[in-house]
Amino acid sequence: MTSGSRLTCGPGSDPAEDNTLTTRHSILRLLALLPLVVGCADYQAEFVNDERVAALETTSSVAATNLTNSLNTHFGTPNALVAWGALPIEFGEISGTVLSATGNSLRVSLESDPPTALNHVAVVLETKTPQNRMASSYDADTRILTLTEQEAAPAVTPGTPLRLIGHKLQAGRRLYMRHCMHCHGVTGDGNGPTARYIRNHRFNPLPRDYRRGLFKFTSTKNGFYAARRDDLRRTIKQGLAGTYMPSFLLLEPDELDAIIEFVRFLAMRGEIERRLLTHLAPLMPTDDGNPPRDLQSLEKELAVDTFNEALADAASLVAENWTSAEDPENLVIPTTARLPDDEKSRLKGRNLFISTKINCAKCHGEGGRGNGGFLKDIQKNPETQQNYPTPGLRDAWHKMIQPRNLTSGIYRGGRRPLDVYRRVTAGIKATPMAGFATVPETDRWHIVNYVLSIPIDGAFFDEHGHQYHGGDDSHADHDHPHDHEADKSDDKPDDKPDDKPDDKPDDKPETTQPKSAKDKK
Amino acid sequence: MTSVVRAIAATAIATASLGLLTGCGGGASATPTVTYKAGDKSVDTGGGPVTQIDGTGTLSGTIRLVGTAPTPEVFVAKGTAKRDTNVCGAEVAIIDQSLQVGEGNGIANVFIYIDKAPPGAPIPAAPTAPAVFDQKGCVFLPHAMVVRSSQTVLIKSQDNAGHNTHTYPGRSRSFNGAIKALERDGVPLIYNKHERTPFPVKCDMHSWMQAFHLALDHPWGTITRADGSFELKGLPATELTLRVWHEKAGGRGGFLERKLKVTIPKDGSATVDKEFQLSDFGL
Amino acid sequence: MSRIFWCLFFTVWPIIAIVVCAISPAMDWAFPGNREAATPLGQRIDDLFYLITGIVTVTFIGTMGALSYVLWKGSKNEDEKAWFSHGSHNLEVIWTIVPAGVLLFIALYQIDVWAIYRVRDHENRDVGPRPSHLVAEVTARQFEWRIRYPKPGTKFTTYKQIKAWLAKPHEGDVYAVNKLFVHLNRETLIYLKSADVQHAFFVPDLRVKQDAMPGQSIDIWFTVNKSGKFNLTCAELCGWGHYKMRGEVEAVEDLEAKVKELKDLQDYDGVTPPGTVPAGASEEATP
Repeated sequence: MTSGSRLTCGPGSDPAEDNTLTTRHSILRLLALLPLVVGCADYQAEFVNDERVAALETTSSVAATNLTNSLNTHFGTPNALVAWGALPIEFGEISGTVLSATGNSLRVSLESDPPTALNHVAVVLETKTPQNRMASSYDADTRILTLTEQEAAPAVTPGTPLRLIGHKLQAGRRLYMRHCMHCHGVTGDGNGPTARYIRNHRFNPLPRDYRRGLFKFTSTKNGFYAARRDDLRRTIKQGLAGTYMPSFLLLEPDELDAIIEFVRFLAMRGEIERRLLTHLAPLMPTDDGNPPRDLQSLEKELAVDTFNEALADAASLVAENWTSAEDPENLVIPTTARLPDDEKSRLKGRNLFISTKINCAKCHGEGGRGNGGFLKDIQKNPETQQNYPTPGLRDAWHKMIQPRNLTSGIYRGGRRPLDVYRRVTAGIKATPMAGFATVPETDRWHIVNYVLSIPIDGAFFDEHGHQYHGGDDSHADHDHPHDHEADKSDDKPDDKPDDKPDDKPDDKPETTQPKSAKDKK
Repeated sequence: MTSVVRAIAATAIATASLGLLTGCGGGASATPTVTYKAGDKSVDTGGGPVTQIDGTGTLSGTIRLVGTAPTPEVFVAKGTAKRDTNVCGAEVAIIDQSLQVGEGNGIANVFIYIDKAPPGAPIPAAPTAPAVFDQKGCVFLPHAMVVRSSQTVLIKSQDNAGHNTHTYPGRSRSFNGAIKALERDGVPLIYNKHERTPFPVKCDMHSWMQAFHLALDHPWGTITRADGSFELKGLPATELTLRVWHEKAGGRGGFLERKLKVTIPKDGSATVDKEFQLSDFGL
Repeated sequence: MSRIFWCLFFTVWPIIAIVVCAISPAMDWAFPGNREAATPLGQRIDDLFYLITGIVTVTFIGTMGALSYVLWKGSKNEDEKAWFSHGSHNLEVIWTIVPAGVLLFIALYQIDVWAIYRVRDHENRDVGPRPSHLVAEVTARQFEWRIRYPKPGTKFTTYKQIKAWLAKPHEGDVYAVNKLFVHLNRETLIYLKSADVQHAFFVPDLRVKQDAMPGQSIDIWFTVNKSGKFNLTCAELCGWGHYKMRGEVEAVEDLEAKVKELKDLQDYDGVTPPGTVPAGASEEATP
């Protein structure tokens, strides 16, 4: 600052010049800071519509409007959510009784302590015709529940039961926006701001698009495609190995529960949107972009007359799917314990794996690398009956998908024998991996034993139990059964001189386990 | 005040207002409002008391194509399959079945059905015998099938190679099960809901394999034979709205006709003959 | 008037700084882990920190005091004319030698701590960790910590064995994510790898920090002497999820039993009677 010299100057300096310079400097400083301020514009989170709604809009704006309005009415927006009782979601409900009411202040007795401040949760007063209000705040000491001023004070008599609904949904939405939204998107469409950075490799799975209600790693039987809460919990807690879905192990259990409910909320919203779009599909433009024939009558039939019925049907189907997924009857549980994981079993598993009777190797490859012959075929899109442009397998989201490379030791659905058993028995929903439930259970355990041994022993066993070192299988070098002594004469240039072992002269680590298959000569 | 003080004061005010502005609302930490919407206990489908429909009749007819259908594409010429060569297309070449035109230009595998059973029509019980869905030479047999929802479909295989059957129903539970070689007992599959549109059934391992199923909660649906003819017996004797669907029909939904109105005379028969253009099939 | 104002203005800030630094240990503003590291090495690092802070504070007060005095005295002096100085050789020697001496002292004093932290000698087994203290391999990846324990009961006697074990998956390995169990009151040796980009294994409470370099297996050893759970964070900017990359390190008495417990959960086949699986394990899956 050049103004240091002014310290010693008295009032004799030129005031006019001072003021101009200083004011200009101040204005410049303020302007310099402006870009920082502009950056914090209020980010309005909104649910985005399915891509097809824009096309629907061009032929039938009535249909598009009815669709978006009904979604708005039954699900709301991220800042004004709607808890729809038709869906099997735990919105977070607390029951109670009204003790006395003065205008918008109610003295209530609640059956349990609310976990949050209950700002803006829904209040349902179970009078003759239920009245819906919104809570503004709740004071646990005085037990006064204050309602917002938005609507007229309700008419309640003491003793009226009431329900406070939505605290879990609120918590879920806040946690979801903080932890999940940036990949999975505000609408749960897998298209959040950071999702684009996951596109660097052909086979990197993108963040899950919940809107089909399909989840891959479930513990339910084939056909129950909705996920159980436990499955979602496992995915969030453990992450998905080998993908960009990290582990959120350190979230508290109640935080996990809230996020799970919100994910289900988004999935159900997407499913209902999807089913309504299927109902309105005849109104979409034809392949050459023209409106369909009989647009007027179709519009009246589909978008007006039968629309509410379609919505109710969609809701009941979605509710049934999610509820039946929770039914313990639909869990995949083996009936026999895992067969002993010995060499014989693994060999049997290997032979099953490569046999044409089941055709595992046709997708997973003879070496289990996920490069089987079926990947060279061009598949057909089941929704449009058109061929996909490039060869390879696709998942339900029409993205390229590769069969699991079983040599990697990465198991997205879990590495327990039970998890691998579930993959083999029920398949992986939304992918071409089928359920092999008709293969006898003993055979399935053999396959499980074999699959779990591949990363350690390599995929190549021939009928004699010998290991075959195929082309570029780099793991094979360490497993040659005749090369125990290789450890002692390791001649890599950067290796340190032979370590003097602490106790035993033997170079192999002591284990409490009998020697594995690779020691067999 | 000296310019220095003024400068500092200006910066301080700017920083303070920046702080205020950044603190302002919205975003991830805002608490959303929640309103409650009760689930509707029942949907009012309208209408008053329902009069019973007694008497049944028959509907028959033919669906024809106007023009010459293109020669179907050969997916796998005989003996040239790249995988499972001794099974797929070993005896007979595998040909595209998406538009099969028979004698008299009749179109095969056209679905003719009623969407919802007319109110008041007594619905016969579902058959107890299972429907058989087979595959031979890596081709599904039959290519199109109508079953009752809740009727068991047994998936069998005459092929000495593994297949899988992957269904894509609109409302029922889906299925993706492996069918092992020479599966003669059959893998059971049930479509538990009434379907409103036929849906594809595919094999992921052999990408050309495709068939279409339709599951109805009543027996009034059928497919045309190779010569395009069909017959539906036991239809309620009233005015019916028929749907005519084919997998290759252009536009959304695959419907050749969505509202074909026919009156079935009691104890009599009605006839419907329809002709469709090549353009209806996107050709 | 304004002169006094400005002198006070520039004096009050250093005083506030000194006061804040002095009271911060008591106010818990200083070190994580409630002022005391959970490892003996960490405690020595803290002691070093306090020593250096003390030395620097004395120097700071001394130099600031001298500067303030000189400024004050000089600004009051309106009569004396400035005169050229050719410097004072003695003064310059003094204020070079003394700080150099202090720094040399600090450097030598801390060598020991550095050696314990990072040096090991294959010849002299007493320097550095023993192979038998191997606990786990920790692989940092965007944006989580993937952990692999060797099969419970495995005893490593040479580094070559460890190297062979690190090279590929082995039968009986136990896997975990984001939660690392280590020895309590016994030395822990872990190997740090990276699956993609640079990360850093940072456990503030233990005063342990080590960058994870892709392509390398870097050994870290420490002894935890306080039971509890410690935050594990990533200390090397590794991408948009760097801020989320948190884990937990827990020191347990009987580590082998704990890893065995994890292994039992990992071996769950859905049917085996509960006796072989710890109570409450049920559907808890490991990756």
